[in-house]
Amino acid sequence: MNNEEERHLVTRAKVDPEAFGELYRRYVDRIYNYHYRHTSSRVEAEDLTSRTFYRALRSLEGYKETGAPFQAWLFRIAHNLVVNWYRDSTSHPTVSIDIDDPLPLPSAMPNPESWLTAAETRRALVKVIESLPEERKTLIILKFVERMSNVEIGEVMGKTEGAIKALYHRTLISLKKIMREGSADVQAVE
Amino acid sequence: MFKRSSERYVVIQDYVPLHEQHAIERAVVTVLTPVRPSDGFVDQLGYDLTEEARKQYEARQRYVSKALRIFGFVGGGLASVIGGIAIWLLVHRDDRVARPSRPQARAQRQAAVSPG
Repeated sequence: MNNEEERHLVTRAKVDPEAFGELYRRYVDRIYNYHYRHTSSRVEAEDLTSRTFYRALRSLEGYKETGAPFQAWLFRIAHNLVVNWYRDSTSHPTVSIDIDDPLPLPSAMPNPESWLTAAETRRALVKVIESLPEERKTLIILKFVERMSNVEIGEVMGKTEGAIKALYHRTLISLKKIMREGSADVQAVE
Repeated sequence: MFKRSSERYVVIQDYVPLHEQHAIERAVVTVLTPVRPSDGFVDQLGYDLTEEARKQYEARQRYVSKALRIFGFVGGGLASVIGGIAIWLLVHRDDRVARPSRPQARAQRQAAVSPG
């Protein structure tokens, strides 16, 4: 579906429940995945996903096309809920990393793909990503999984494109250091 | 002394070369495989949302039609009052035009009574 078709669908969804249902089916997997990557819990992800769409339904009448695509608007709602979840939840993963086995990394910067050969190291990387601060994790998910542009990510996170670029590079440096050192402490590289 | 621009600014690209950026990206994408919600959850939420949307639209339509009725009632009442006033003014203006003013009437009467 191209942008023009989506724009028509959004306009129709303001007055037609079936059109809203179509929008929902189009985005539910991605919104769920976004929440799951933040919460690491299916129950929490389901809860946040349903709240995202209910909030979108309530706010859709006031939605105005401002150049940013609809997905940025929807992900912004999801992002705001995630930020609240981090603030309110006492059970979300802490920033420090708890990896049982030390990572079998060579001392020089390895090829990150070869670094992932073992399932253990994959799990370790997941833990590293999970343990990133909320802002960096959001950026990683939107950039690498959702394939959003820096402008769109800026719309979602309420930041300028320049701020997103800077955050992206800081996040990459941080990830590179973790992968190089095999360190279990993210905060050490912050 | 002033430094050259290349000395003053840290070039981020030096820290994470492009090929490493791509490698990190591929590594992240490899481990962050999409997690899908269960079909039951998707169907149930979809049904609930469509119902909620239907209720919301119906409520909005009821609100709009109620607002239109009130507007019509108030607007109609106002139009009636204004119309009534306008008609009353028109009728009485005709009366005033038809009936001469008092000094004129007195002058006419005196003219009729006097012999010359």
